[in-house]
Amino acid sequence: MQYDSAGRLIEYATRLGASYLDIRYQDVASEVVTVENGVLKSFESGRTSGAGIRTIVNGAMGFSSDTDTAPSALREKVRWAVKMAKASAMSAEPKHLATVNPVKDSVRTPFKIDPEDVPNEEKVSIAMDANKEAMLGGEIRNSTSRLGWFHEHRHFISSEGSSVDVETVMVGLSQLSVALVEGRMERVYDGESLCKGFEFIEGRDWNAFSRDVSEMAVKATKASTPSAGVYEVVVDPELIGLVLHEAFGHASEGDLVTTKESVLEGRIGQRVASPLVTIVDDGNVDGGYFLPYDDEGAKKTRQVVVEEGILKGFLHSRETAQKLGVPSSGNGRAQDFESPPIVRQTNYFLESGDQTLEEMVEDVKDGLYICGRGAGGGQVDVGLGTFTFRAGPSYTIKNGRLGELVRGVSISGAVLQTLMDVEAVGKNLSVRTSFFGGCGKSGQRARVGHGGPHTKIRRMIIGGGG
Amino acid sequence: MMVDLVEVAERAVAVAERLGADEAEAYISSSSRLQVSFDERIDLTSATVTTGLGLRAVLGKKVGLHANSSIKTKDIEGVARSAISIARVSPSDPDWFSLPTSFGSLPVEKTFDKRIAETSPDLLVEAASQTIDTVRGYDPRVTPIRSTLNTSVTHIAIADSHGLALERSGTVVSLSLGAMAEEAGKKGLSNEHSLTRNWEEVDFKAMAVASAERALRVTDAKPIPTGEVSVVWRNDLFARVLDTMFSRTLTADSVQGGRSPWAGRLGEEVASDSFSLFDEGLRVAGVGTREFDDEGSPQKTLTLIDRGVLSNYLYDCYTARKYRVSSTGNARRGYQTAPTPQPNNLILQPGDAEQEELIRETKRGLYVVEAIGEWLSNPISGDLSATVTNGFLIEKGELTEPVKGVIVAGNFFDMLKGGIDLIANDLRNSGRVYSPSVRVLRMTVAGGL
Repeated sequence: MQYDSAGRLIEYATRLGASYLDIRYQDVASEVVTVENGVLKSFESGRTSGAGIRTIVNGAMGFSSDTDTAPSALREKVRWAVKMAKASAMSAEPKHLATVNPVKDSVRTPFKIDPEDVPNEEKVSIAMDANKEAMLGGEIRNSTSRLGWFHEHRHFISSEGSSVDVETVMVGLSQLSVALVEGRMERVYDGESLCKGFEFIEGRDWNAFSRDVSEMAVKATKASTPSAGVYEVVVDPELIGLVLHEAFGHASEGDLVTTKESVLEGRIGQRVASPLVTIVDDGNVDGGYFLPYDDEGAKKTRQVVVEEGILKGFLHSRETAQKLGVPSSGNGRAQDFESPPIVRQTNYFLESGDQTLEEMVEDVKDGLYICGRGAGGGQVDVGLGTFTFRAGPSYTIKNGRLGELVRGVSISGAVLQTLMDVEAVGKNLSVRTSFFGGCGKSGQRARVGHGGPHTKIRRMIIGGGG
Repeated sequence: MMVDLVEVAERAVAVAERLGADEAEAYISSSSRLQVSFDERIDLTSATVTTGLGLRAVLGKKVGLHANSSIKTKDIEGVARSAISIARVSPSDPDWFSLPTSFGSLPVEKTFDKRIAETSPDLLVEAASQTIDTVRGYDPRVTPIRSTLNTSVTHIAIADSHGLALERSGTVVSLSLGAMAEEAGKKGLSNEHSLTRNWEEVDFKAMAVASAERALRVTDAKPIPTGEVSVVWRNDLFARVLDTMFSRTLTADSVQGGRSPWAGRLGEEVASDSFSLFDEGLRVAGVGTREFDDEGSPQKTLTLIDRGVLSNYLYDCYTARKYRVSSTGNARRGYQTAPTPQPNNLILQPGDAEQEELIRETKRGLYVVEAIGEWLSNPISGDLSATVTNGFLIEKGELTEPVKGVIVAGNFFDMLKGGIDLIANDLRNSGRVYSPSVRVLRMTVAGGL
């Protein structure tokens, strides 16, 4: 039905002068169950649907969207998208999109149990049990557990003849524990999510997971903050993905490259990292986010960004690919039907090497072992090439051995320096994604995956705590 | 509005009651937004329309929420059935009392700009084009990058089983402007942001000039060595620090839930006597100013820290009932989520000093204009850190070298107790938080690889 009405909308747009039109229908069902200190705080469930329409008229691009997807409403939105394009036709940059072969395909995340079919009682009881398990006596002042899922359909149809239907299911559980010990308060947050059905929730021991988070929060209250300075660090697999995402991922996004903002602009073929570093962006990786096609109907390819330290390519939408004369890598992603696609990472990770954690720690004299569990996230200024992130509770390394726990570890580095300083890469690769988190860019949030093995970096700036 | 939102809300409540809910509340939002994104030319012009209905159904002390982006009559019954079925399986909340039974609305000023409500894409495209020209005209080495200008109009209607039926409308205009300067292979970048309720409040020209001027000035920025210095924080950046440190912890739900460092400390001296913090719910043209909050309670001015003394928390109806006080009018939500208490317009009381005095009074320090990662700071332990992206060294009261790539860090709780020794008079907002520029006498700077 969508396809038929889309055909009529495309015809209508052509009559109004459009040389290109795409329509993205989206329909998402989702729930988040929140339990705080043993009480169900909220059970939020919802359904969102709508359509976004993108068009090119006289070289200018216009976009419109509506939560009303009735054919008459969308016809009005086509008119609006055309009006938007025309409004800026005089002062807009002419738009050209890299060629993609029209595709007709339908793909879905492999899942067994649709979360929609799971009784609500069961969802509440899993979150409730995990929540109570995390309340370790008087030291835990707050335990907040969230169980969430979504089931989404995205249908992309274009005037070029593409029709791509992607069905995604994602589930996850998160735990926040706040501990108060001898007047010192600290919090640790962690979550586990996967693009799978409810079988992922049923197959895991969430009580052990939430208890671990609480134990870490209690320990962290007793930890001190490291003194400010430059340290040699070993990064754990949970954190290396975040480092990579901020330190390099954003700078390799095609839109920041074509505007010349990124410090990586013009460096294809140059050495940008240690020879131990190979970085890949892939839409389908174990543990990561599932993205077979992007929101421009382009197939997501396995894109090698850095190979043995040499910059090989960037992440592209159709527009940025066209500007650099390369094919789209399938990285044109939109938060939802209300947002136009922009260049985003999918699963961005470091390929594994050959060292063990012990070997890496062994020859660090005075450094830090920085860890991802409880990490806050990060941010980068791509133009300046400066990035920052916050690690979870971490450990000192003294004379080749792991030492005491430290907290409040904020880290900063330079995009063109940090990966040059990689001294060793570990054996085991792991990639993670998150239902609850995501990456923000231009006001849009995208779910991404990231990861890598243990990695040793020669120098990073560590901010001292208070 | 073509659709009478209050009528839809009342109908949803009636349907939920007919299907067996003891109480019900419908929250409806409808908004339309125009946006132009641009760099050295216009990139994309867009128009979006979003609606949504969030329905809370109550059975005894059990509450369920279901939301749908459709507000069409045919979809209401399905929403009500889902909300009720969730309420049915929910465990009873012993603290649940009822949906709001008292409500009211107060007049507000300058929160709705007719010009924005009736605007066309041409006005935005024209303003964006002029801004591009101003930046480029300032100096040929500077171009705008990743900039957006948008306007939105939002209508909200709320109805519940106890007779609540209110609606309000508001407008917002937001300009986010980036500028990039290139000189001898070196790059300087700067950003300016503005979020206001009225079109006339946006000073396009001043923002364009400020960002172009600073982008040129920071092309040579570098880290300074690790050490301790005084730090002057620009107003809108410090507003973001205040947001991170207070907005989620001065709320009654975080206090009652045991996740606030301010729990059990009312009446305690938590800051120096020059530090006062307010939530000014009826501020003229305030970004968070509304006739009533998201549960239909009127907003007001609330003193949170009175000359250093912690004096109040922010409440919605549920948390107020729990402590036997009245809602402070701080309930906030989107249609898909349940309300929680949040600041409306959080304001740090300005001081007497001109902003330039803060710099002039500083022998050696760092003036931080832009930073990243300040939002990663920890409001529970007070660990504050931010990575400077646009800063200047202060030497003998003068701004000298541009600085970037250093982490400034300190403990926010110590900063409150005298660490912040100068507060300027230049109040400015970032989102719903308003702050003057401040000086912190001593902070750690980590830098210099």
